[in-house]
Amino acid sequence: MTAGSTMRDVLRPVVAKYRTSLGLPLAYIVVFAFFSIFGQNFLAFDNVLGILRLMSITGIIGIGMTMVIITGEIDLSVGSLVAVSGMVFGTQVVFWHWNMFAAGATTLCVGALNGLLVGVLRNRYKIPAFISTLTLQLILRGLAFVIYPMSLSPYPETFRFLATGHVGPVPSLLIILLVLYLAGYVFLFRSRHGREIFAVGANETAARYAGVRVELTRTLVFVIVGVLSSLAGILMASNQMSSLPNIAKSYELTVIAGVIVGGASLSGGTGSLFGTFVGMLLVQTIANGMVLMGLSSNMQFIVQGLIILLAVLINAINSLGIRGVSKDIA
Amino acid sequence: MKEHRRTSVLSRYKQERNLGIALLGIGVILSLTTKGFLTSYSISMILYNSSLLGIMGIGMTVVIIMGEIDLSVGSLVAATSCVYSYFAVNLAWGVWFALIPSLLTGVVGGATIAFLRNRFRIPSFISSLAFFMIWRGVALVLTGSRTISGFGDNFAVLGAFSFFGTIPLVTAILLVLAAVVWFLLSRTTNGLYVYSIGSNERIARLSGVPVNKMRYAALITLGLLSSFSGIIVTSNLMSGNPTIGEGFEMLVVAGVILGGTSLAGGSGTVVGTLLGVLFLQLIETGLVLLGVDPFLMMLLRGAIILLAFFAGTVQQYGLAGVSRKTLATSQE
Repeated sequence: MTAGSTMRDVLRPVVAKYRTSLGLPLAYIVVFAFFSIFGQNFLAFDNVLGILRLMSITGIIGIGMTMVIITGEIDLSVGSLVAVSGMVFGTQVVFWHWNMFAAGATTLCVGALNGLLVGVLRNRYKIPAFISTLTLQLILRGLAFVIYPMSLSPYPETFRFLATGHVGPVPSLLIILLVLYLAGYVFLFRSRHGREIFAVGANETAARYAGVRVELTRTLVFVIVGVLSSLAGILMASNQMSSLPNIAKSYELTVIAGVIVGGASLSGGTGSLFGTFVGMLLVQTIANGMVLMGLSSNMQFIVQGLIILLAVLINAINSLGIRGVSKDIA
Repeated sequence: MKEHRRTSVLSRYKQERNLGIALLGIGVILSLTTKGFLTSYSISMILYNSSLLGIMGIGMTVVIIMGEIDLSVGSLVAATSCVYSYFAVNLAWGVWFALIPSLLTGVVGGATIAFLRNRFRIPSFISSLAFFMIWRGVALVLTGSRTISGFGDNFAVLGAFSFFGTIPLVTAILLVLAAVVWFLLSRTTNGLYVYSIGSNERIARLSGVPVNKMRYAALITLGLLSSFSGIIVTSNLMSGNPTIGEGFEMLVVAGVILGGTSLAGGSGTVVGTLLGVLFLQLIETGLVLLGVDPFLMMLLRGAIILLAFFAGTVQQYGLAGVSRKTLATSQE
C-alpha cells in the first residue's frame, strides 16, 4: 500500500459522509471569493457586517421555516407577518405608549395566532399550507396597511439597542441570531418534539402509528415560524426605528431559498439548521454582491427565482440521479 | 349509472346551482343597494375582469384537476405583456409577429414546470413559485420598471372593444375557449385521462395513460392562455406594464376552487370555474361600489379567497372539519 492510497481510503468514507454538508460551505467560499474579486468594496468590514445584519432577519425566520419544511409543509405568509408584527408593535408603543416588553409579548402572540390558524386549516380542513398561507399573505399585507398606512415612529431611543447595539465589539443582532440558532438546534435535535418533527415529515402514517402527535406537531411548527417572524418584525422596527406596512415583501421566498439551498428537502423529513444558516448566508451574499457589481435590483427577482429552482433541482438530482425519473417507471 | 340518471340535472350540478343562486342573490342585493351597479360601465367592467381571469381559469381548472398547480400565471401575464410590447414597439416587429415571442414565453414557463415535475418530481407549486419571481423580474428588467407604449389605435380592439358597449369581446373569446376546453374535458379520451391522473396517478400510469405527456399539455396550455391574457391586458391598457397581474394567481385559483374543483385533484368542471370567477369579481365590484377603502379591500379580497377555499373543504368534510378519530383510522 502506498501512502497515497491509504490517504484515499481514509478520506473516502469521510467525504461520503459529509459530501452534502461539505458542498455548501465550499460553494459559499467560491461565491465569497468571486465577489471579493469582482464586487466593489465587498470585503470592506462594514459590508461583511452588513451581510450578516441582512442575513440575521431572514436567518431568524429560517430557523422556523426549516422546521416547517422538515415537517413537509411550507409557510408563504412570513413576509407579510413581519410587516403586520412591526405595525402591531408600533401601534402599542408609539400610539398607546405601552411598555415595550408588554408590546413585544402581544406582538409575538400575533405570530402565534397566525401559526395556529394555518395549523387548524391544515389539520381540520386539509387546506394545503401553501394555499392558506399564500392567502394569508394577502390578508396580512392588507391588515398592515389598515392598521396604519404610513410610517410609524418615533420609538423611544433605548429601543435602538435591540438591533443596532453592541455588546463589547459584537453586534447585538448577531448574538440574538446565534442564541436562537443554538436554541433551535437543541429543540430540533435534542428534544422529543424535534424527533416528532422529523418523523412527521418522513412518513406521516408511520409516525401516527408510532404514537406521534401529528396534528400537534404540525401546528407547533407553524406557531414557531409565526413567533419568529413576529420577532423579526420587532427587530426590523428597531433597526429602522420605525414601522412600515410595506416592508419585508417576498421575504418568504428569500427565506425558503435559504432553507432549500441549505439542503432541506421540500418533501419533508430532512434538513439541518447549520445548512439553513450557510444557505441563508449564501443567498444574502449573492444579493449583496450583485448590488456591489452594479446589477439592477430587478435582476434580484430573476436570480432569486433561479436559486430556488437550482436548489430544488440539485436536491432532486442528489436523490434521483442526473437523468431524473425514467419514463417507464411509475 | 342508474343512480346517476335518476338524480335531477339540478342536483347533479349542485355546486353550479348553488353558485348560480348566490350570483343572482348578490346581483339583486347590489342593484338594490348601490347606484352604479346596473350601468353598462360596471357590467362591462365585471365581465371584462372575470373574462380575463376566466381565460386563465379554464386552463387552471385542467391543471388543478390533474393535481398540479401553477402560481406563476400573474407574473407571466406581466412578463408576456412586456415581452410583447418590447418586440412589437421597441424592436418594431409589429403586433402580429410579436405574438410569436410572447406566446413562446408562456410555452417555456409551462414546459419547464412540467419537465421538472415529470423528470425530477419537483412539486409544481414550488417551481411555479420560482417562476412567480423570475417572470416578474423579466418584466421589470425588460422594461426598466417603466411602461412601454406606442401601439397603433387598431390594437385596442382586442382588449377594449365591447358589443353594444356592455359585452366585451374578451367575454366572447372566453366563451369560445371555455366551450373547447369543456368539450375536451367531458367528451374526449384526453379529458378522461386528465381526471384519472388527478384521482390516482399510479393507477392511471399503470392503465396506460400518458401521464407525462398530459402534464406537458395541461401546463403548456395554461402558459399559453396566461400569455394570451397578458396580450389582452396590453391591448386594454395600450401599453406593456411590468406591474400588472399581481395577485392574479390567487384570484384564478380561488375562482377554480369556488367552482367546485378539488385542490386534491380528480374532480372539477369548466362551468363551475366560470361561475366561480364571476362570483369573485361580482363581490369585488360590489365592495368597490360600496366605497370600501383600497387598503381594507386588499384585506377583504384575501379573506374572501380564504373563505372560498374554506367553503370548498367544508363541502367535503363538513363544518367541523376532519376529526382526529377519522384521521387516525383512515390511511392516506
